[in-house]
Amino acid sequence: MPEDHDALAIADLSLAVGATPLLADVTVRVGRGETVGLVGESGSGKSLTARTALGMRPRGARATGSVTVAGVDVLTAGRRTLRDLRRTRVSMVFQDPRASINPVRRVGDYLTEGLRARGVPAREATERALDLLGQVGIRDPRGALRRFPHEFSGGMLQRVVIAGALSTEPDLLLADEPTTALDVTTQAEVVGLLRTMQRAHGTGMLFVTHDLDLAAALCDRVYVMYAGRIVEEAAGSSLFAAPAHPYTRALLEASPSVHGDRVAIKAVRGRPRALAEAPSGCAFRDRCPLAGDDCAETVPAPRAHGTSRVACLRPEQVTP
Amino acid sequence: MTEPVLEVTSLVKRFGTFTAVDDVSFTLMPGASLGIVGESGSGKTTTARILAGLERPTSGTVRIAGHAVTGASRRERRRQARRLQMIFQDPYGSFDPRRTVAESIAEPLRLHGLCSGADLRARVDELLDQVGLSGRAGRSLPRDLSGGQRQRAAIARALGIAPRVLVLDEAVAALDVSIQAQILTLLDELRRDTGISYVFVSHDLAVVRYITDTAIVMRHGRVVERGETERILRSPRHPYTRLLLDSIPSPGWDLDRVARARRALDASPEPAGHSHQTTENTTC
Repeated sequence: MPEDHDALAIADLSLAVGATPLLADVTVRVGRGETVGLVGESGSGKSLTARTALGMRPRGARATGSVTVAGVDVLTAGRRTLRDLRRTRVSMVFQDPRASINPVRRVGDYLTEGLRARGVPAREATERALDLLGQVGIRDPRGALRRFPHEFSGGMLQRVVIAGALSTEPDLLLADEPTTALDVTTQAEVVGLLRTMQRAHGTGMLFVTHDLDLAAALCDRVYVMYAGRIVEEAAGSSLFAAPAHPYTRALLEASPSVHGDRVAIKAVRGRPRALAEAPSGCAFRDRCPLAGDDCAETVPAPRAHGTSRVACLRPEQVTP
Repeated sequence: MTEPVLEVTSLVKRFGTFTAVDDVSFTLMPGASLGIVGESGSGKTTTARILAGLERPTSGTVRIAGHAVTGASRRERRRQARRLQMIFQDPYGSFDPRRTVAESIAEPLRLHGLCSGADLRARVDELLDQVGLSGRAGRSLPRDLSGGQRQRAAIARALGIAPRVLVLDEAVAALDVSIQAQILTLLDELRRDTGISYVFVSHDLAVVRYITDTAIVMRHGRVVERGETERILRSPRHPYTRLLLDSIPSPGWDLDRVARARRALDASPEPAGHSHQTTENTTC
């Protein structure tokens, strides 16, 4: 089975709470050692998708489809299996490091906790933590083990969290806007670190971000989400040159850039929508300059166009 | 020769022993747009807050349309508010949650005695229209509007009393890309139509490039580079500006070079003549 070789395989995932749909037909694959971007605006469902991979779903949510992490079916797994999975095979890094680290415990406790739970002896766990702190560029790792989270700056604490996330050598790392709260120069360093660490450990990474530039620069492949659906899947390197979905192109045209000549930005009318409030057919059609009557009939099925897979009826008009 | 609408001279702000703003000077001509670029701790927001009279400088002067900003009395502050208005990153925090957006927009008009009764209502409608908000949005409470709509409402409220200068502190940073573009094009149109001047405070060089003519780059409270925005981006002279530009994600991004450049910059002493001390956290 090919799924066995993937760090993460989400297939036709739909999620709803009561009568409110949240995600529809989401298919995302992260190969071993691969970096995959999940890009979208607020309400697009990108964080929800990433969290589903950890078995974290909104209360009362019904899910259909399948979510497989390192061979484990997350949707049907029991609590014990999920806990084991989170402890050893999947890690997550969030936007705000201070929200994911206990402020009254020392950094050393945080880093060795996961290892100790796996049965690694205390002395060995400490050695491993020291090694990890060195790898993520913390000066004086031995001193850092004894310090508290508030003694670190945001960028440094995010490094500690990354060290903790990778301490168990997981198959999959879910990074949800891990650099959004950081300064741009710090972001560059933390992203560089994530990439180096991930390559060294052969970890697959799902990188959730609103920043198209960042996703394109960092990721092997990028999924673009809109209103709870994947609208385009493309190679990171070709996303800018040849966007296939009108929404992807609209995002690119709306983003000011420091590169090349100064060009006017084009605003997209309307606002991003959640799946529950999206119009029938293609959810983007009420904001799309290419939309026709046929776009209202059915949700376009994903199909190949150029180097992309795109859910649009007329991608040839986006990039010929 | 026309007078500058904003003149900032040798501004210094100290909090205890920490110098947040260190000898910052710039001028802004009517209808011009100036960017203040920097990362956290650069002093850009403190500078903006001094302009708006929310902080008092330790030394240095701010002159708006020829009048020195002192903030001495209520009356003086009110006069000052007619000349300069500020827009914040999160407009939700600056609206009364129990009042409709239209009432909030009307308040400064009434406070400054600009209009009342039917005139007031007509002016509020005009302002809503100018920033692209419907009458229905005007009758809504702030919590019922989206982030982009709230930011439009904040702009409408600031424009109502026709200030000469608008200070925007990370005004589009919290918005989605497609909404950010709407606000940026709106700001561009308003400047063309009304001749208002902007001080645009941001960490985002791409946004600053779009919305400003000139810019200053701040680091540790000091201005490290100044000039036309386009020149700064195309041929940055200060290593810190170069580092900022290299840090922006792009195809073929060289992260090792960024890390090396940052370490070199952190290690290098301040240029000669700067007896400037920072109480920088040793962990960063």
